[in-house]
Amino acid sequence: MPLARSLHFLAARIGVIGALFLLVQAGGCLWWPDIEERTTVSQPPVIDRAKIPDPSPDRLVQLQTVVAVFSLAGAISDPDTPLEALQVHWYLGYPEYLAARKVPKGPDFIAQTSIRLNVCAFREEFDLGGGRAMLEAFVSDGPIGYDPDAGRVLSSGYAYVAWELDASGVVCP
Amino acid sequence: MPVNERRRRKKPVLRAGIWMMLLAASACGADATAERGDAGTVPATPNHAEATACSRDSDCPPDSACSLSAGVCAPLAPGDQAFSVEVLPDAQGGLVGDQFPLVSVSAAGTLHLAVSPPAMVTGRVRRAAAGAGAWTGNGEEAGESPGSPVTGRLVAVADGRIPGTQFWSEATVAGGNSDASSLGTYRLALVSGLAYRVTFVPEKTGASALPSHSFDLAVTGDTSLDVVLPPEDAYLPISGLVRAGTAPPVPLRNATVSCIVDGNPVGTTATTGPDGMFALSVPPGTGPVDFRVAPGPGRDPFPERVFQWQEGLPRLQEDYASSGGLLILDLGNLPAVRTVSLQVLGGATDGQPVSGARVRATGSAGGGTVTQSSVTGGDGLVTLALPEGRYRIGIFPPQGSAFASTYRDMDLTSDDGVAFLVVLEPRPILRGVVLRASDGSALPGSVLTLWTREDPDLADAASPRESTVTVTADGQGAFEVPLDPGRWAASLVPPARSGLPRIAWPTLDFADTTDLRIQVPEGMLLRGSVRQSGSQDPLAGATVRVMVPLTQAQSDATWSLGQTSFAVTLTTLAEVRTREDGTWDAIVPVRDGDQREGGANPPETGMGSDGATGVDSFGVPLPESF
Repeated sequence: MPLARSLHFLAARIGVIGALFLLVQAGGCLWWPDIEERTTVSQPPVIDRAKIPDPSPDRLVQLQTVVAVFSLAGAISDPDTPLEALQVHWYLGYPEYLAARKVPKGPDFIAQTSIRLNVCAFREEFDLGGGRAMLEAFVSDGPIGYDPDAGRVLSSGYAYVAWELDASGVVCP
Repeated sequence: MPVNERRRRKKPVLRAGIWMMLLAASACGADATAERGDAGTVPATPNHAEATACSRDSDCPPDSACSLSAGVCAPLAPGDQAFSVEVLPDAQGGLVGDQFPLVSVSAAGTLHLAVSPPAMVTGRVRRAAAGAGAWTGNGEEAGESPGSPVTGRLVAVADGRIPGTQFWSEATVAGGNSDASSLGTYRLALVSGLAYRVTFVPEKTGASALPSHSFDLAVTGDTSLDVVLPPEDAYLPISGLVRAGTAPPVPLRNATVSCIVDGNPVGTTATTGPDGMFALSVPPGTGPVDFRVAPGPGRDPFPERVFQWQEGLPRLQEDYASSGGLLILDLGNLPAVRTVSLQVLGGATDGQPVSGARVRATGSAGGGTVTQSSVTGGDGLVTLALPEGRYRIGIFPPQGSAFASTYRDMDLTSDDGVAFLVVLEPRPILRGVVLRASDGSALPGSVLTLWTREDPDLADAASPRESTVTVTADGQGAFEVPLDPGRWAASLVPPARSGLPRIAWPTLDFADTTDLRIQVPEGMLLRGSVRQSGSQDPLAGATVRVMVPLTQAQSDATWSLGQTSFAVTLTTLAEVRTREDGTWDAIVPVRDGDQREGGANPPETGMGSDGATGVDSFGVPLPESF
């Protein structure tokens, strides 16, 4: 009986030590991970509309020149992604094009926080909208894909802003 | 066994357990700490590619200082470097920004900037009384002929002092619920000394509304200005009819009619109704008058036509009067519209369909111009409705496609086909590696962006389309991307913690599959402060954009800078925000020795594509082929 108890104790001791050893080998995270392990959910970028330089997205932009600059400079922030790593995709007339052509178009500008929009390069989109078109900017901390059927595919957190542009007064040379 | 002995025997087990737990805890903590440091989407860079982390200057080696914005050490900029700097204050602060072209860095790499307050232009907008002979089109003279206040918005746009930039200001012209004394008043903030084009956009819209009115304005300080718009009788109201066909002509519904006077891009536009009728007001002005007729939304395409009165408004007025008050715009016989389908395949006639490719047809038909576009579906098919004419079809597969963009000429006047097959060639591959120039270590996570114009034949036109390709370097700093042959501009953004600057090249010619070695030079630390001139109060939260110091002539003569959407991105060396005390810092590339001589020299120059002096480099080494 003492021998059996001794063997039982030995087995228990080996079991405890072995389990702890395996725990260390396995990465050492039995009770820690829930508290310390970094969550895989990242914070999406944020666009502060109030900080967007003019023209403001809060009112109809009546274009008066062939070239107009739109910028998100100073308006983007992201708590956990360097600003240089954010993806910026701009679309001009995406909904108008989709409605008229029944196919989604790809992004018109990529990787720029400021764009110089030449209205005359997008006459088709403005014509489809009767002189108006939506300018949309997506800022994402992950890739922004394009699918010929589904259109733009956002697989990560993003921020969005849109301007409604009226180019009916601008006549291209 | 006695209890005490059992406890003694348990102690080694307990000690081992505690040790294991501590080991487990430390392992867990170490992992978690490392992961926290890597937060974000940029792949972790190996330590040898990272700069020395710091939070104050004393953390850094001699001759370098701490970039508080990047958290790394960098050598201080020598005093002979020059930049252009744009300051964009927080939009809520009431300031409109300022620009400092070709400024030189002071000793110890400092650049202190004082932003001037805007010039406030205040006054009232009025419509000159009918028959006001004193009105000549210049708002400032309008004060002599008081008229009724109007409501709407003033939009002021000016090119910035830094090429490629622009200032935009808006003001409401009071109306609606305003009391009588404030009706028509405005308060417009402008940058002093810039040449603005100001447009009054009336609140009232529709067929009966008068069109916008534009005038030039430059002020050097706070100014009081009453803006007087042309009197109503200075506008020529036109009723018109758009017809097509000859036997007999029939009204054309849903066509847009735009009018411009003397090439001014701001015109008036109307859409024809079911009876083909339109009404618009031609603004006063001298020079030729153009009426452009184009298809409206949702209707079958027809060639866009321009009707011109070269002699200007008097001749138009004569013609209008002699036609009995109805201006008839006859388009003649419109060419038949053919529905054409193209199938885009990659590599061979039995190759795989290329989906997501943009297909754009531009050409002429029936004496006018036509542009149509669409996107290929999963089967590589696209359908375009085209009036019979001659076209250039551009096919642009999306980024990442293995097949190259191409152009095809299509003559629908002689070819009666309706289905076409386009086989694309494989795209050459651009591959390479991004390295830290000082030690040859790889720079994983670097982002290379390339821009080009889609149609080389339109390179000199005002509005070619553009395309962009981005690729991120892998764990070994290597990248590989299919790329159309042609002329590209590129920028490279190294990982944030590398302490290296972003660099760019205005021209990279790419003809065939190429291996590149991109060596990123060390950066230098530029720091300073932004204050409001006068009060000297620090300007917190402002965006400071440090840019390549280019002249307007250089920018105009460089294909990638003159009229592209990406000119500002390409010339931006760093973009940071001021701290609460108005201070800022940025890591920017060191321009080579030749560039630094003479202080505020612009970058090295070469011959632009049009023979003018353009920019070949921004002072950083071009990528090497190997």
